[in-house]
Amino acid sequence: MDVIFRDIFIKKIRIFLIFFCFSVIYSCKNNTDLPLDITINYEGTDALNVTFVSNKATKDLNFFLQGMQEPILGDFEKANDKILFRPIVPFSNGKTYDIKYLEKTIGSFSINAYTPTNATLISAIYPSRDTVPENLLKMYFVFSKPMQEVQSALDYIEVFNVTDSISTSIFLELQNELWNENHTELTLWLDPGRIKTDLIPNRTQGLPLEEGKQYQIRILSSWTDAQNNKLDKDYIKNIYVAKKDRTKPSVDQWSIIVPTSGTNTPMILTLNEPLDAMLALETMLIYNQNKELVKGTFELTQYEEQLLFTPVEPWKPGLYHISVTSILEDLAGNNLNHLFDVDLTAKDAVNNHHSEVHELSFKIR
Amino acid sequence: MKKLLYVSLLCGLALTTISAITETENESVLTSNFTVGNPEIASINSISFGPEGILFVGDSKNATLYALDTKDTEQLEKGTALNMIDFDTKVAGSLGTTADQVKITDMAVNPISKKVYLSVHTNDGTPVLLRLNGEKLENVSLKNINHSKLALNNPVATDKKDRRGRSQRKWAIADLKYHNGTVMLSGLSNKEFSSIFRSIPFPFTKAQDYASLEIWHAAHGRFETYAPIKAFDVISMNNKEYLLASYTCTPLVLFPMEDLKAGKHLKGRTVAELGSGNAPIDMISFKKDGKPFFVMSNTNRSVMRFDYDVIANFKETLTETVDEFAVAKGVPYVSLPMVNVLQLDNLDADTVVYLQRSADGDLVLRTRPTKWM
Repeated sequence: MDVIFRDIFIKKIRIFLIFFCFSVIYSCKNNTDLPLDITINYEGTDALNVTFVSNKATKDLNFFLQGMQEPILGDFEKANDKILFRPIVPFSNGKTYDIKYLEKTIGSFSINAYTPTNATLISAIYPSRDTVPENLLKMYFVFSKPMQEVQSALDYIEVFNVTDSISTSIFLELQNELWNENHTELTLWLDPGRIKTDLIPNRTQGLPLEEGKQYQIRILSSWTDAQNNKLDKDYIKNIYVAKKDRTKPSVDQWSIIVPTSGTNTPMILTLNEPLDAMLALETMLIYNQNKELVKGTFELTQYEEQLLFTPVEPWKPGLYHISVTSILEDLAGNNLNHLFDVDLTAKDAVNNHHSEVHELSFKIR
Repeated sequence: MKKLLYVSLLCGLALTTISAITETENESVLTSNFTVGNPEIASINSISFGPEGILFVGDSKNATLYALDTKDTEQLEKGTALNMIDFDTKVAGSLGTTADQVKITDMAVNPISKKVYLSVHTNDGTPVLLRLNGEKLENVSLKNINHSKLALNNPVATDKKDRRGRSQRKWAIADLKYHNGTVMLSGLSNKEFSSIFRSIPFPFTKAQDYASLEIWHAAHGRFETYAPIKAFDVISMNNKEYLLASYTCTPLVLFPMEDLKAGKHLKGRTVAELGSGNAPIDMISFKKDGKPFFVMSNTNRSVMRFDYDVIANFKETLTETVDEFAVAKGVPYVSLPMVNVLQLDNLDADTVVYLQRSADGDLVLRTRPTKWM
C-alpha cells in the first residue's frame, strides 16, 4: 500500500512539474515587458542607435546609463512592434545601458569597448630645441590624433624646475584653451603677465622661466584622446634657459641659398634665429617676377632656424620675391613690426613705421 | 444667382488677401533670411540671446557665428527658482555618459521665456544645446533648426593673402553679446599673440567691422596693445554707451561705443586694475532698488559688484603702476560671498542664475535674488 501511495505521489509531482514548466514557458512567451532582439547599430566605433521589439508606448520607455537617474535625451521611432531609439550623442563605448518601462528595467545592453590599433602619441613639441630664451612666450604640442575636449590640458602637464628641485607652474590657464580645428595642436602661453615687465605677476612672481636654469616638462600618459584612450607613454621635454630675446626678427638678416635653374632643389632660407614653428609655415609666400605665386611646399629644419621651399615646377631664371607677413613671431613673441614687451621709455618705442608685409628677393640665373 | 456667386467669390478673394497680409506681418524681419536645416555647428564656445528668442552661437572650430531661431517666445515675467545639485551628473546622464565626459561651455537665459540654455561639449567635442524646462533638461535640435550664419572673416587685407594660399586664421571665441542690432564678439588667436573684436550687424549681411582695441594697462605703465579681451558688456552711463571690457590680466577698460569703428585702433580708459592671478569669466548688469550695477565672475576671485554711478564718476585713467600683489586699484567694488562661479546670467529682472563649483567639488545650478547681490 505504501509503495502504491508513493508511486501515485511521484506521478502527481511529475505532472505538477510538467505543468509548472509549461506554465513558465508560456508565461515567458507572453511576457511583453521584455524587449526582444535588442540590436545596437554602429557606424564605425560609434553606437548611433538601438532597435528592439516591444509593444509598449514610447512615452513610457526611457533609457539610462546603468546607475544613473537622468533619462537619456533622444528620439524614438516606432514601426509596428519595432522601436528605434537614437540618443542625441552616440552611446559611450564600454558602457552598459538599461531600458526602463515606467520605473521597471525591462532590458539591458552593453556597447563594445573600443581598443585602437595605434595609441595616440605626441608627434612634436615646439620649440623643438632644448635651449630657449628666458622670455619664451609659447609652446605647441602636436598629437597624432584628436584629443579629448573636456578636461583641462594643464591637468596633464607637469613642470619641474630641475635646478632648484621644485615643481613650478609656467603656463597661463585659459578657460577656452587654444587648439586647432582638429584638436590635435595645443598652444600654451607662458604666462604673459609674468613676462611683461612691471605687470603685477611679473613683479611678484617673476618670469616663468629663469635664465641659467633647467626645467623638465612632463606630459602625462593619463591624458586621453577623443576616444578615451591614453597616450602611449609619458613624454619629457627638457628646457635650458638662455638670456632674453629683446630683438625683433628681421628679414634683412636672413640669408638665402639660391637653387639652380631647371631643378626642383629647395630654396634654403636661413632665419638667423629659431622662429615660431606654426607661423613660419603660414606667413611666407614666394612670387616670380611676374608677381605670380610660385606653388610649392615649405619645410622647417634645423630646429626652426631654417626654412626650405621646394617648388612644384622646376625653377626658371628670373627674380623672385619672398613676402613675409608681419605677424611672424620669434620664440619670445617679438614679431616683424614690434617687440612683445615694449619699453615706452626707449627712443624707438613709438615706431609707426609698420609694414604689413616684409619682402626679400633672390635671383636665379 | 450670378450676383450671389460673384459676391461669394469676392468675399473669398478678400479673405485670402487678408490672410496673406496677416501671414506676412507675422513673419519677423529678423528671421526673414533664415533657412530651416542643419547649420552644421562644429563647436559651441559662447552663446548669447538676442531679440525674439534668437540665440547667437559662437563656433571656434568653424570660425562662424550662428543665429538660431529657438521659437521659444512665450513671454514669462519670472524664471523658475533653481537649486540643482550634481548638475554636471544630471547633464551627463541626459547624454548617456558620466560627468567626467562632459563640459558645460556656456550658459544663457532667454530674456523672453526666462528659460536657461546650456551649451555642452562631450569628450570628443560633439556640441549639444540643452534647455531647462523647470528642472527638466530638453534637447534643442541642432540638426533641423531655422537659422542663419556668418563666417568670421579676417580683416580684408589678410583675406586677400589667404586666397592666395595662406591658411585662414582661427580665433578661439572668448565672449559674445548682442546689443541694439549688433553682435559683438571677441576671440583669441591660437598662433600669433593677439585678439580680435568684431562688431557684426544683425540680421547678417556681408558686413563685419573689426576694431583693434588698445589699452593703457595700469599695472605696468606700458602700452598693452595685445592683451586679449576675455569678457565684456555694454553699459550706459550719462546717456552714453560704453563697452566695458575685461582683459585676462583683469584691468577693466572703457571704450565709448560711438568710437568703435571698422579698422580703428582705439585707446581705452582703464578704470580698474583688479589684481593679478585672476581672469574674468562673465559680466552681467542688473538693477537693484532702481540703481544699476554690474557684476563679474572670476577664475580666482569671488564675484565682484560694481556701481555704475561710481564708474561714471571715476574720471581718471590709471597710469601708475600697482605695487602691491593682488591689490585692486581704481573703481572700488564689493566682493560678494560667491566663489567659483563658472557661469552667470540674468534670469529675470530680480534674479540671477549661476553655475557654481561647491567646496566639495559638486557643480550646482542656483538662482539668487538680486537683492542679495
